[in-house]
Amino acid sequence: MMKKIFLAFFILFVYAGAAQQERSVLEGYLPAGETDGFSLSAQPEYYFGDELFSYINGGADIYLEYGIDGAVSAFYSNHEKQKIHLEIYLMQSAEAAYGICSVNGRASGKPFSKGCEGMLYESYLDLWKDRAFVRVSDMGGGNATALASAQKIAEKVCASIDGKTEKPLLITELEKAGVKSDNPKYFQGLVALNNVYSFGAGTIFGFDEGMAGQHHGKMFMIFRYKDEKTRYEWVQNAKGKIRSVRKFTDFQDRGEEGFSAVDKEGKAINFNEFGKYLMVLFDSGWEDSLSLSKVLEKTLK
Amino acid sequence: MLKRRDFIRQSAALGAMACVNANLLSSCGRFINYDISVIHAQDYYKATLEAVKVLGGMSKFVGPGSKVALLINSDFEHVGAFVNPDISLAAVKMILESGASEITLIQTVKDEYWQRSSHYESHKEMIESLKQVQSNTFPATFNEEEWVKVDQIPGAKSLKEAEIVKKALECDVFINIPVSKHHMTTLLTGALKNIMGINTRKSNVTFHLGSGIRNDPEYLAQCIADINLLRKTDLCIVDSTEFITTNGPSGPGELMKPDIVLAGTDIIAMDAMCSGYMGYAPDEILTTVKGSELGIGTMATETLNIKEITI
Repeated sequence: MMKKIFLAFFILFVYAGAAQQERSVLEGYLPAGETDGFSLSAQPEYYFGDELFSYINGGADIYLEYGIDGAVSAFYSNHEKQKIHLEIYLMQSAEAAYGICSVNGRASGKPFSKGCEGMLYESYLDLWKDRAFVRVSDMGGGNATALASAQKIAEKVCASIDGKTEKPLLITELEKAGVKSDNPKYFQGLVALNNVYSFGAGTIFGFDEGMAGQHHGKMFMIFRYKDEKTRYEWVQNAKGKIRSVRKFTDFQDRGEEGFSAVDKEGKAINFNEFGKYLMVLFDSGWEDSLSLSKVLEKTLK
Repeated sequence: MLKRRDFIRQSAALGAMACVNANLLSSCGRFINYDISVIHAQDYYKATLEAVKVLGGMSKFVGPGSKVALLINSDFEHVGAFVNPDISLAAVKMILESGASEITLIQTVKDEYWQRSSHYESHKEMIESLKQVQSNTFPATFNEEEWVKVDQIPGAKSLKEAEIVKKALECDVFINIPVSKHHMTTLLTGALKNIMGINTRKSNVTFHLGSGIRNDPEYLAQCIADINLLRKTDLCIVDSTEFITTNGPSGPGELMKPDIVLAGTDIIAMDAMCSGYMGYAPDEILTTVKGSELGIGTMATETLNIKEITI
């Protein structure tokens, strides 16, 4: 009994210590004083672990999927009562910060790279650096002067974050192979994948990490598994599900090379297996798919 | 040449066949009993009035003196993530005109939400007459006055207990007004999932984490279906006018604008239809599948009487 109580106190002590450490990191990222006429209008609020469900009204799942250590929400205002909302999410890895920023990406974004990497949208910025994902929003919905101030606040935040903007290895390896996508999306689980494309209910692919991008105007995805055996098992699972759900028709098993199907939008989807990877190419012929997978097979380790 | 006597005989026979066969007439020669109405329109206020009219009018659901609980998905800031307020205002107008003695917004609706409607000024008095469950605002916490702890949900498969807004269980009529939109975990946030709005935050978190596995879509979907067993939706009006197709449920995300308002009583069928607007097959949406398995409604929309019109 005493052992259990001791263990519970120990876990609580370690958790509290870690939360305190993350809080100090986040505090250090918040711009102090005035930035372009904007200063803090209320005490920043901090959230750690599952407390995120008390901050995000729907959608906390994706942060937990990537892995998050803490978050801070702070409001800045100026004399004209314009409001800017700064949110900083301290993810558990740089890959996670890149991933969440990429998966949230929208077509209307313009690249922004002043100290961080990310996108500028009509009323907000989404940025990442090291393991921080940063969102700065004009609460007025996109007022030009407030949005310009939001960018200055973002620059200050980025300057205070130590570290680099290194993309995940899976993305850089593809770039080395000449398969470079504009705004690729990087995911580590089902929730993020669902934001790009749904293959059906529940877990179908069970990958460790994956990405989605464009190749010659066609969407493709890469899923990476722990090893070839794991990939094989999940591909068998995927074959069974895709063959049986209403979303897909024209299922064709192509032996060791993979399989193909047509989705309800009429898009041909090809699945090619090699090593510990599964590649998915949308809206293309089987031969195109095979040739892309051969290029990738030479590069991806 | 068809004789007058033959013509009458044939017409009578055809009329009788229509009454028996079509299964559409609740009382031959009166009105058709539709399960779901689908209205395509750019004026969402008018579309909502028409959607309920097609079902037989609000008085079919709300009798004089009724106490109505209204659940509106309003608490988001980005377009396509909240119900267009024109739809909510049209619903409030119809409910009041049906003689309801009380309308309670069982999840708090802020005044700034109503202000987004061009009908705000002309409906101000109506808005002021609405009651609110004040404590059901994000992140909602339990209090004895407005909430009740439910520790048994007959028929539920995963959900063992929940903290529920009392008014949702005590009302005469329960009207559910969701927006059909993307959700990263459940793919669709629609009529079934909107019912999570009658829970405290603590209860909602158990839906997400309660199975012991983080991000368990099966468990989440089952809990959502289970909570719907507590109080059946008497009337559902779904906003499928403009919604996010990515980054749901809060957005901002990519938008789709089919300009559709639906009304009906079978929320499984309505979710199945809305998932189609988003490009999903009904069996891709776990909440719809689980809800159908519990008998809350049917995914087989082809078996229902659906009236689709453009105004």
